[in-house]
This record gives sequence, C-alpha cells and structure tokens, in this order.
Amino acid sequence: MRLLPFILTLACWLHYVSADEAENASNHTNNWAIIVSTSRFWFNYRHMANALSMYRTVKRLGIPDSQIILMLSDDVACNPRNAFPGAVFNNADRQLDLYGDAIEVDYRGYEVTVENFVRLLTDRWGPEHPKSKRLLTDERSNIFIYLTGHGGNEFLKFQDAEEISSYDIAHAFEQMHEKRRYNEIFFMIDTCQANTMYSRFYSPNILAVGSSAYEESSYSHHSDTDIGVAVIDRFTYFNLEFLEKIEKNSSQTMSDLFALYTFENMHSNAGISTDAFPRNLSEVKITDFFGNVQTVAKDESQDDILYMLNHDESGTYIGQSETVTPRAIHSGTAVINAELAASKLSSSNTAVSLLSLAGFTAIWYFASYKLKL
Amino acid sequence: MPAASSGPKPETPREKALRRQIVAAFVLVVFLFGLPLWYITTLVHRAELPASQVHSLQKRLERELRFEVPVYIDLSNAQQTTVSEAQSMINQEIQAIYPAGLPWNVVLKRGRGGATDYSITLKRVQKGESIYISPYSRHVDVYLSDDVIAEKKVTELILKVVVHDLFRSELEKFGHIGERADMNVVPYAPSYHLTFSLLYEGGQPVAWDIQETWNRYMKNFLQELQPFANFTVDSQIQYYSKLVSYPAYNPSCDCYLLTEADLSTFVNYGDWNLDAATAKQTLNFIVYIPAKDKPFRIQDSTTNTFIVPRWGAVKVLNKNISASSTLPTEELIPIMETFASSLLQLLGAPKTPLAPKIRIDILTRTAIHQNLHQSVANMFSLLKLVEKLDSISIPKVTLVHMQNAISAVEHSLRAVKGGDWVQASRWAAEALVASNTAFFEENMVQQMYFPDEHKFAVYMPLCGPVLMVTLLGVFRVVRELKA
Repeated sequence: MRLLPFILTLACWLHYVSADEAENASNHTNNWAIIVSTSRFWFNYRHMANALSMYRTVKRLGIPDSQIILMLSDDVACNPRNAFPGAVFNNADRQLDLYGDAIEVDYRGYEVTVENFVRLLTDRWGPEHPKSKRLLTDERSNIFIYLTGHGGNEFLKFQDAEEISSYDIAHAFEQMHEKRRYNEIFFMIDTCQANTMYSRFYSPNILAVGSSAYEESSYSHHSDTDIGVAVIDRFTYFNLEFLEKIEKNSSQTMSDLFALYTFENMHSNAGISTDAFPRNLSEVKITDFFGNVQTVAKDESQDDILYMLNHDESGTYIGQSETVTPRAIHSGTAVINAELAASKLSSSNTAVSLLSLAGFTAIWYFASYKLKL
Repeated sequence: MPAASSGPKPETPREKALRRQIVAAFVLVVFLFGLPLWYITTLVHRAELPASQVHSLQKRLERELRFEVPVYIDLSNAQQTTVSEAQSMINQEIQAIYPAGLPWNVVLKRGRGGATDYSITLKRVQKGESIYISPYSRHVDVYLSDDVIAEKKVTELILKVVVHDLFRSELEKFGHIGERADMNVVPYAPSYHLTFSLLYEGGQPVAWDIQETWNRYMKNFLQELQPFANFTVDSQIQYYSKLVSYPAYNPSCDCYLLTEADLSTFVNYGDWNLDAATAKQTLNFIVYIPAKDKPFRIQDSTTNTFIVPRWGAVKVLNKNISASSTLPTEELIPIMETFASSLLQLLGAPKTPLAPKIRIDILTRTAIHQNLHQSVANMFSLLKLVEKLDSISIPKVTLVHMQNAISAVEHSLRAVKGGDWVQASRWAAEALVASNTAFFEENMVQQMYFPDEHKFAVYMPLCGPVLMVTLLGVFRVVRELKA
C-alpha cells in the first residue's frame, strides 16, 4: 500500500509529460524552403556556394523541388574566370560539385530582386505566374528561409542595385501570418550585421538566427587557391557540417545545432531569436524545417463507395453518366471592369504628369520671352 | 570711358519691382503648383474598402446562416400530428446536446419528396421495429409493428433515425465549428485536379485499363461530387521508380514490412515526376508496383494503402509483372474503391452514414458554412492589414474583388435560405475565390518601408538648390522692404 502514492505521482508525472510533448510537437504537414543568394559577380562565389549547399541539404533531407524556391544570380558556374567550368564547390577539397546534380533555379540573374522576394513571400502575382515559382503554403506549412549576401544595419543588398530592409521582411511575414500562410518559420541569415535583419519581426512562431551582431562582420571560412576566391562562409560552413550528419529520420534538435554557434567557430556573435517562438528548442527537431517527414495516415477505407454510387438497390448497374458537367461560373464581367478601371487610373496619372510638364515648359518659355532675360 | 564704379549700378525702382514680381512668381509656383503636384504624384492610391459592409455581413452570417434540411415522411392522414410531435422532439434533443445552439436543423415535412430529397417511409411488420438506411440513396425505411404504433413510439423512432443515425456526423461537425480541421484534409478549392499514377519499379512494359474503369465507375462518383467542387483528371505510367530507402525484410511475414517510419519517406518526391502542370489544387493517387522477390506489406493495413496528408494516397500493389502485363478493370476496381474512399477522406467527408450520397451532402453543407465564414475572415484580414500598413496601396481592383465577394456571400446566404445547396455551394466557393483574389491582388505589392535617411537623400539634391535660391530672394525682398 505504501507504493500507491508513488504510483499515483508517477502516473501524474507521465500524464504531464505526454501532454507537454503534444504541445511541443510541430503541427505541420508540409515543408517549404526559400533559399536566396542576393549577390552577383565572381568574387561573391562563396554566396552562391552557401545557397547551393543549403539547397542540396534540404533536397537531400526530402523537401521536393516543387517546394524549394531557389533565387540565385547563377553567374558563377559558367563564369569565364571559373577554372572548373560548370562546377561550384563549397570546399577546397572539391569533393562535392554542388552544381552537378539537377538543380532547379526558380529565380535567376536579374530576377533576384526585392520586389520578387516580397511578392514571393506575400504570394501576390499575376495569373500568368507559374505554380512552381510560388510559395503555396498554408497554415500547416513549416518554412525554412535562408538568405546570404552583403548586408548592413537592418538591410540586405540585392545585387548592387537595391536593398531590402528589416521592416520589409517583417511586414511581409505579418501579411503571411494574417492570411495564415505558415505554421512556423525558421529564418536563417548569413550576412554582415545579420542579427539586425530580424530585429523588427513582430509576427508569432518565427525562429530566427543570424551570423553576426550589429556592427560586426561575418567571415568566410577558407579560400581555394585554384578557384582564387573564398568558397564558403563560416556560419554556413558550421551549419552544413552539422546538417551533413543528419538523416531523414533524425531526432536531433535545434539546440544541438545552436550549440555550434560559438564565437570560436564563427569569429562573430551569432544570434538566436526565440522571442516569437513558443516551443522549447530542445524539442524542435531539425527535420521540422530541414526535411519533409510526414505523419502518414493508415487508411480506414471503405470498399463499396463506387459500387453504391453505380448500382441501385437491386444491384443493377445504373450506367455511365454522359459527361461530368462542369460547375457554372457566375462573375467575370465585374473583374474585367475592375481591370479596365485600374488601367484608366494609371493612364490618368500619366496624363497629369505630362500635362504639368507641358505647363511648366510653357510658363518658363513665356516668362523668359516677356521679361527678355 | 568712366572708371569702373564701385559695385553694380543701383537698381531703378522699376527693376526692384520686377525682381519682387519674379520672387513672388517663384514662391507662388512652388506653393500653388509644385507642392500640390508633389503631393498628388506621390500619393499612394488607397481605395476606400467597405469595412462597415464586411462588419454587417459578419453579423448577418451569424444571424441568418441557418441550414434547414428538409426530411420527408410518408404518413397516412391518421398520423398527421406525428410530424409536429417528432419535430419538437428533434428540436429539444438538438438543444439538449448543443445548448449553445446550432446553425443547423432538420425540418420534417409530410410527403414522399423528390428523388434527391431525404425521405422516410414507415412500413408495417408483424413484430418489433427496425431501421434500414439505404446506402444507395437518401431513403430510410422504418419498419414497425402495431404494438409500436399503439405505444406511440413512432416519434421516438423518427428522432433516433434523424438525430442519431442519418445526421449524426453532420450534427457533430456543426457542433464543433472552429476547431482545427483534420490534418489530412486538403484546404477547400473550387476545382481539384486528380492525378492517377502507375509507378513500376522495374522496366518491363505494363499497362492498365484506367480509361475503362474510369468511365464505368469513377465518372458517376465525380458527378455526385459536382455540388461540392469541380474535378479534372489525368493519368500516367512511370518506370524505374525507385524508393529512397527500402524496407527491411521481415521473416515472420515473409515480406518487406513497411513501418510507419518507412511510409513517411516512401514517396520519392525528388525522382518521381509528380508535379502536375496545373495551378489547381492537385491530389495524387499512386499505384506502386515493387519489383522484388518478396511482397511489400504495410503494417496494420488491410488494403496495403496509406494516405499522405493533404497530398494523396498510395496503394502498394504486389504483382508479378511479366512481359507486357495489363492491369484489367477487374483488378483496378478494388483499387479505385480504395482511392474513392481516400478521396472522400482527403476532402473531409464524414465517416457515417454509409450512404456516399448523404456523406457528400454533408460535406457540401459543411463546406458552404466554412467557405462563407472563411471569405468574411479573409476580408477582415485584409481590412486589418490595410489598417496596420499605412503606406500600402489599395488599387480599385481590390475593392471590386471585395464587392464581388460580398455579393457572392449574399447570394449564397439566399440560396441556403431556399435550401438550394448546389447554388449555395457555388456562390460560397466564388466568395472564397474573390476574397482571396482581393487579398492577393498583385498591385498591392511595393517596397513599403523607406527609412528617413533615404527620403532625405532623395529630396535633398532636388529641393536644396531650388529652395536656396528662392529663400535668398525672399530674404532680400524682405530686407529691402524693411529698409
């Protein structure tokens, strides 16, 4: 009898643990990845290698290509300066050609723009935009977002032409949250002053890591003397070193990964932001973001639905329906009207600008004529 | 020639007046023309969204969206009062189970009803009582003896049939609105694309009578599903479809046993070419034929099938493929039966009652309810977002899509009131699409945030020189006027 309280306590404890586990499990059914290298030109070789390495990793861990969005300048593999044409390596040992396997670049070259990135996140495209280039997530999607390039305090440069600010990304995430387009986001950024990029996030369920603190540089790991430039960044290198050992059904967690984020490894202060992330990191599996592990359902199938729909009470086959009549669509004219209105709107803007320009010229001309200046 | 006098010639009063006019002209142009022009051309177009309309629509939805499902009972004149008695018993019973009230009720009517109506027929038997819900139609037979009628148990029987058998799962669905949907269920779309794939691990030619099976069995099924959504179909055969990892041989069943862990990585997204070239919501149905010496068995599955949440279903078929084998219709029918069941599960149809027609009806009605609420929620999200991000532009198109959505919701409400589920479902789907289109309007994207440094950097070179000259002129005139 003396054992009874002990057993009761144990039972309570077990119950508590299982409830806790349920809370800490990720509720996602699908995984997506957005991998972006925002740099151009040969001397930014390492950013291409960073992005391609991450691409290789998420693909190896099971995210289908249709759910990986890859944005690359893609000007390195076939660069005339490349001593190994058609190949990109992320290590001086050159064991692994990142470009060799079938890679599917979704946004290439000059398509890597701030606008396209924001459109991608907020899914605002014209009807002609292909499905494979869209982020078709829902409230059960976990998204891994990896950015690399040159950054500064609260901005990230896109191909020397423009930059995206931390506010832009934060607002885009909020729009995704408002439309319930994600379950959790893992945001990883490898740039100088990277940690400032996630400082403005205000939407829930986002785990963010960056390679370096405010006013700190991120460093490359090593150079390849034959290629002639640095081939990978430190932060990405150590992430990859860890991820290479992960298998599809691994039970390693985020806290195992984050244990590597030391100053000795990175030569900078890598940042981890869990403010908006309720789950305990030691329970967040790596494969919640780097993989596509699905909890499949055994079917509880019936085997007579078709029979019942094709036969009547007496068991006679009722025959084929002629054709499956498509459902009618009601509206359509209103949409066209709206588009017309929109096009008129923009043309009226142009008209105002042109008219005012002409007006200015006229004033200028008459003023100088009258006053004989 | 006179020596250069010190300084320029003093201005004549006429010149002074002219200069003042010039300065005044500059200032006037800047303020009357330049500033308004700058303001107008940098104005972000923000259409006035009908916020109050959305709010009142939300209230209307809560008040007026009531599903009243008619059920016809074939009664003799002597039993006239039974209907109203049964109706009030049903009302009480539903009220007792769901005290908060439901947007759903059954309306009993006397008569036989049409072919697509729910109908109950009372039939006399010598002894006892029993119920038969036909799985082929929407018809119920209630068998009762004279004793039952004498004991006035008829109403109780009707209550049992309606609340606890026929519409039990619908009541449960409407009673648990707002709970997170089943993990497996795909989000609603007005049209789905079904892809049937035969994947063979080996390379010998293999064929299947999919067309024939389709015509004979699946067509009628999809016809029944029309009130819910549109469906399009294609099929393909692929060879050398390898798995990522192979299951371990299990001597106890003399087979390769697929455990749950194996199944979660079974579908080889990387190598199997499964991307449909359509923007529609796609569901995949795969028949996988392994080419191993021993059969593949899925643990604890009688049909050797599993469902990938929100994605599709996979059937592992063990078949020896000799040269040019064909899967005949007879062999495909059981597989298609399984897929039909999986499809209903993926779409979120309830498990009971047995009759697929009633299950699809329930699916349609719950979809109407869900889509109407989702459409209004989408519009609320948009309104909230617009309020939060004060520099985002709102084109007129957004407004028009929103108005379309509002009118579609209203149409659907009217159809629900009239009991026309087919129309209600179409309008609700349209409302969903229009509200999504409004939210995802492509012109609503712009770089929204400019730091103050950027604005300064842009305006300074532009305004600096102009302002400097104008201001100096103004100062000079002011000084002269003071002197």
